Amino acid sequence: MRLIQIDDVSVDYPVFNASARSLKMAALGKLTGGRVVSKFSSVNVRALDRVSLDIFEGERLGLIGHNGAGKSTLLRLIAGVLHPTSGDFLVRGRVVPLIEKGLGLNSEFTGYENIELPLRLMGATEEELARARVEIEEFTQLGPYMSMPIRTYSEGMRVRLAFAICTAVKPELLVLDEWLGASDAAFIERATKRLNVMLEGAKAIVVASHSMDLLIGVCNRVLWLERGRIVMDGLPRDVIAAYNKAQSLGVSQLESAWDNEDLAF
Amino acid sequence: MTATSDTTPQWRRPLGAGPAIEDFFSGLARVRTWVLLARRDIQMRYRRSMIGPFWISISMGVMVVALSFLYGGMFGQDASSYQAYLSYLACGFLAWGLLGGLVSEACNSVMESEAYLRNVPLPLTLIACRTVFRQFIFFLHNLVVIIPLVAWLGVGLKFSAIEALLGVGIYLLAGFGACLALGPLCARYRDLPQVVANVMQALFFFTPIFWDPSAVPQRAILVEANPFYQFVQLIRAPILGEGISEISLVYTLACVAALWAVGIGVFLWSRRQMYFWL
Repeated sequence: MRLIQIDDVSVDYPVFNASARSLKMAALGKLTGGRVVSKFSSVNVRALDRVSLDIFEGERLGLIGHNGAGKSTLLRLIAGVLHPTSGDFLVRGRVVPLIEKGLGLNSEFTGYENIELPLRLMGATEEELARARVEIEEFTQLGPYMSMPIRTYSEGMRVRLAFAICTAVKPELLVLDEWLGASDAAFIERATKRLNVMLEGAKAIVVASHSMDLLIGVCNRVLWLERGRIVMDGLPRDVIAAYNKAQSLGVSQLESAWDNEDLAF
Repeated sequence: MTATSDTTPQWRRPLGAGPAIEDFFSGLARVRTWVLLARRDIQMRYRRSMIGPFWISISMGVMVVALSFLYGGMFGQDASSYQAYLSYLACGFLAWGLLGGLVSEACNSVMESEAYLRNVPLPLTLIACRTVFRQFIFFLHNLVVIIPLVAWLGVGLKFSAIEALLGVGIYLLAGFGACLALGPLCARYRDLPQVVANVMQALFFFTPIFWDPSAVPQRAILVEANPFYQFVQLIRAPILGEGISEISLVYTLACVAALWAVGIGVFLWSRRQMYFWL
């Protein structure tokens, strides 16, 4: 069963320079009959270029590609935080986005106090919140630190807390960026266990990562994006092999290959 | 596709691309989220301070008392008119605190939520409720200073002072409309908050807070036509026992309607593209 339907979607980011963003320039543009407008109008960067994609139940889709290939844009599109400039996007089920680390965490508040806001922002149910309050303390093993402001935490402790909080929800569709992978060695085993429980509960997962091991371990389908377009879509081993081969070809040859197509501006 | 209609969710477009009315009400409905956000804002500001948000009350009290020393000299021996003036001033500050706060925070509402908006879909109405509710909490802290002060000054609080609550309700409605309108616009046009701040500063002096409108009879129309004056009257007049005039009521309700019309327009225009302005 299809859960996500992305139909010919393009996303243009307007790049505002200071002048395009100010009222004065907008007004000046009008006054001068549009002559200034062309000079100061914003440049668009095409982050996704006519992407069509269906994601089915049971799929664990990994996204690979260089920085700026459109992985984050695609994640945010599926998460529902940004909207296509053209094309259509439909989703079925509850989407939980875990894109940046530490959403809604405030360093002045204690571990306990920091549980509620991130979960509410993600749209957690009351039941999930109640369960999270119990589970998180146990899972993070932060002990007395739970009653300390999290500015006193080490980076690793913060990741533990952030991870525990955001894995307390039960999504149907999970959208995550690779930050979940990063943590200290002792924590990883328990984290993997908890993540797997979460993944099993989800009907479909979309994860962006640079870690090929993680993608092979977690995913059953991989999408290779480059300059906002889908280069390859298939089984993890096949796509990753092709990706690695392209990497070894060298960046310059890859670039020139892309330059044959029109630039995404 | 197998027939599992009872468990299969319907296709939907995400927030911002679905029906606008759904966005609008889903934001209002997440009461616990916006209440929590507003409370956090206040806790944050006074974290690690001993008396916390009561600094809001104290600073209001300090300002009024300090001004009373200064202006006390002008009134000389005339104690009753001095007390009347002090009550007038205190209520004016109380009203302006809410009004000015709502307008300037409306400008910041979307920008201050940037970190959230980049990561989770949140309706604009939720953000507006957070801002309005936070300013309301500030107002309550000021109220606990001003009301006893006015009572103590012997103006004699009448039961009709309760009408001020109606006035506050109108402020909150107006503030919500202002957030819908100014939040996205200020995120898009980054000069706008500065423009608004300057206009508000000028209006602070144009609006009778320190002075009585009767002092400038030849400019009465300028005073009456100033919507901020009418808003201030919604709170000040009932506390001072004058009651809300029909003109104030009609004028401010018209302002609310106008703000909501603009606000809903901006909401519809911005909801699909606001992400790109953050």
